[in-house]
Amino acid sequence: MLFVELLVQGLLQGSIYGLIAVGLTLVYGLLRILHVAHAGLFTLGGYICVILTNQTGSFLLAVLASMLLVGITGMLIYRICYQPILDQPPFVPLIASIGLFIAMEELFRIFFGAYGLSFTELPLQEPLPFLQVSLKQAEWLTMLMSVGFVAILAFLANRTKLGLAWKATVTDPEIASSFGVDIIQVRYLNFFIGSSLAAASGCMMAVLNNLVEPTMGSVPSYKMLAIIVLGGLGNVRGTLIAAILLGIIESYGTIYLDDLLDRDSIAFVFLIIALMIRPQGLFQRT
Amino acid sequence: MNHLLQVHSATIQFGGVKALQEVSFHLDQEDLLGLIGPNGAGKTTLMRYVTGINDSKTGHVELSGLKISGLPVYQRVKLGISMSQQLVRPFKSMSFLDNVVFAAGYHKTEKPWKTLFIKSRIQEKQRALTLLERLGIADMAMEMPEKAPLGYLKRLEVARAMAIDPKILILDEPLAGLNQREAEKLADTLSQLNQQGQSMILIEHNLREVMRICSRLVVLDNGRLLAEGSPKSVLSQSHVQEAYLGKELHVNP
Amino acid sequence: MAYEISLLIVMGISITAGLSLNLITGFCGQISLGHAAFMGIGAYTSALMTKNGLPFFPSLAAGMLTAGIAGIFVGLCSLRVRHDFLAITTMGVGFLFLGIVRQQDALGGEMGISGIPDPGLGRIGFLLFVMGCAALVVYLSLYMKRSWLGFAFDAVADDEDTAGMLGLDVTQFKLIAFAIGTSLAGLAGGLYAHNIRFIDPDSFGFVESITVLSMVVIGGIGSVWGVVIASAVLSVLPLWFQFIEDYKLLVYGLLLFSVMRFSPGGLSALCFNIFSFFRKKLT
Repeated sequence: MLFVELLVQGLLQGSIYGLIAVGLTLVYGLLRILHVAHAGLFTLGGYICVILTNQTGSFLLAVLASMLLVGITGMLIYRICYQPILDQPPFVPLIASIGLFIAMEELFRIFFGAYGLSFTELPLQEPLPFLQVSLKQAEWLTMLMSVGFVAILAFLANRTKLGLAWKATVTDPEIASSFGVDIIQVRYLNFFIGSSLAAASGCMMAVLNNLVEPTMGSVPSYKMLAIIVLGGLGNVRGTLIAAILLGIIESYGTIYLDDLLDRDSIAFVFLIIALMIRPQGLFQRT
Repeated sequence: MNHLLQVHSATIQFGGVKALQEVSFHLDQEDLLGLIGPNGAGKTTLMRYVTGINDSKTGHVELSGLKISGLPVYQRVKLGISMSQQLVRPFKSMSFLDNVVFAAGYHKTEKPWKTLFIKSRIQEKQRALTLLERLGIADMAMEMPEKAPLGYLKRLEVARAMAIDPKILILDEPLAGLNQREAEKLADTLSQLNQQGQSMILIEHNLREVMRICSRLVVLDNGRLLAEGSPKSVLSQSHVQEAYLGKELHVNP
Repeated sequence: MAYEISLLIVMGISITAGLSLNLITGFCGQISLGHAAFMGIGAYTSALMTKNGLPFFPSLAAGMLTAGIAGIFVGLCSLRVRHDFLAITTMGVGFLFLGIVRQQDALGGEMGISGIPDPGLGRIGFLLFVMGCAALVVYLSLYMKRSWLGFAFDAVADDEDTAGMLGLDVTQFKLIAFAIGTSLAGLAGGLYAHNIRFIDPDSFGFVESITVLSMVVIGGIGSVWGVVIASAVLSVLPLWFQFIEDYKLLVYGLLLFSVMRFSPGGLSALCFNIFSFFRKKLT
């Protein structure tokens, strides 16, 4: 049953990656910024979730509040950090973002301590059997969330006026603008949605590990970059698929490639090989 | 007979759109060939095929009998093809002068490792200044391209393309953005250049100047070759008139 | 005295590292987020050689060579991808290097390599050598900028497609940038290894790559003197002010962010703007 266990682990990890990566690809698809600080929002989401759950006893409330607050923070980051430097060469927002992310991690360490926080009462731990597999509620929820959110996004993108506006802005902002689309609003909304997805991912990570600590965003920060490139920049479905694929490959890879590589570099081997074969990414850009 | 440049049956498709359909033409030594046709006829696409930016499924390009299809852009340039583009792309970090100085140093950048040991730019600066003067833009020599008017940037493109001493100089709408006097002057310069032995292909909408200076014309319409020959003979053909003028009337309400 | 000597050595090594990246990213415009890996290659190569009894200078040279060869491979990757994609790829290379080193016992694995032999120059001698290397790299950078190699790099960094349209073999020039830049990084790595005399994978991780990048960016991408000053100051700042050590990363992060947000040309652009401002006022 090791095979199944590894698969499930992979799917779980992939789901966490997926939520955070989808949030990032929304931002990249629109603005072509590698928004590394997104991983800092992931961490922030986790922290808010733990703190609020411990305060109020309600995990659901904490998750919603976390997504809301982090979404707003994301919009602020766009306004204060990125908007003024959009016309600069691409490395400028990238490095600004890296600087911001490093600062965020340090602030978490300084304010909340290096050892992190845990839930006083860990929620959603009941085992829930389904199709011969018994996972905890939290684990089912994580996988459900990733697929669920992507489905919602796909629905929004394809069936609503909002989604049309978004797609138009991604394809050609000037033309979209001349059709009456408020580009600024689209961007704010984009950051809001993307950031709240990062928060959701952080919340689930918190529950799965019963720990949030300042550097929990470090590993996802670079993996999410690899994933969005592989998934096709701006391509939400492709990104989720790439994320899950990575989760599974890492799961099996650590067992079989243990002598050669450590777990975290697998993502990058995958990435480098894929980019050399298809420099535009595995899936099509939307 | 070996033409200087021979394009055989170029067919290029972008997605569902056939930009070029089996277009063939040739250029002889010392020709000043005018490439004309309505907007969207495929003129730029054809030239980008010659320079190697665009690829064609069928057909090939020959330079003095040598097949150059499949060679990367920079190698074709080294073999003697140079193009000044319609969408100007000056080096934004360099002044007008330096843009041309760099191009003029093509000998020096031929062997990359050796470039570390070469410092002098004096000759190239002289040459660049001469070219800028010839094109009437020497007053902008020390300026940066950023806020320069289009007419100046177009002529900078031409100066740069000329600086590499090409066998074939391709000019994509160099007169656009110039007023009538400037256009006439530039056309005269190009004509002089041609008389001094430079083979050229000129894409232009300014028919007045084209008629004046070109020795031959090639007309494209909707990706196909419509006519070829001397300016007078080509423009007197009724289907050329129809395609060109008819379409133009249709497009400008 | 010993303390000041250590500071100067660290400065010299940082300047070498910063300028080596400046060559690739600043001069040639190829963004690299994995530069510390090349320092690591130089460090590990030279360390393993001296530990096995080989003399210092050849080992250092060997470190430069291996780093340079690795650099050419990465340079080849840069031919397929650009800008953001290149940034991510180079980041990946950095992690790949770490990942491999961590799992190889022959390379010391997680524990690293300790007891790297003293180069045998004496402390002052080593300081002079490091300073000499730094000075050489400064001179090379300045000279390169004026040469046609630098001119070609400018063109590639500005617009590589147009450079190609003017007959430039962009590929060759990119590879040259990587080869020279990474072998100089290997030099810095080798010097680092023989200064601290202990290296482990964490010495050459992503944070270190960002640290070197921040020296280049804050100094002003492409500006030789800007990078020299930024490297010198940033490398010793945490050592000078003990209380900064704890907040070192926070300061780095905020500095990186602020410079990019408010003066993307780095401090050299800032200085230039201040100069022009006053010059305009005076005329």
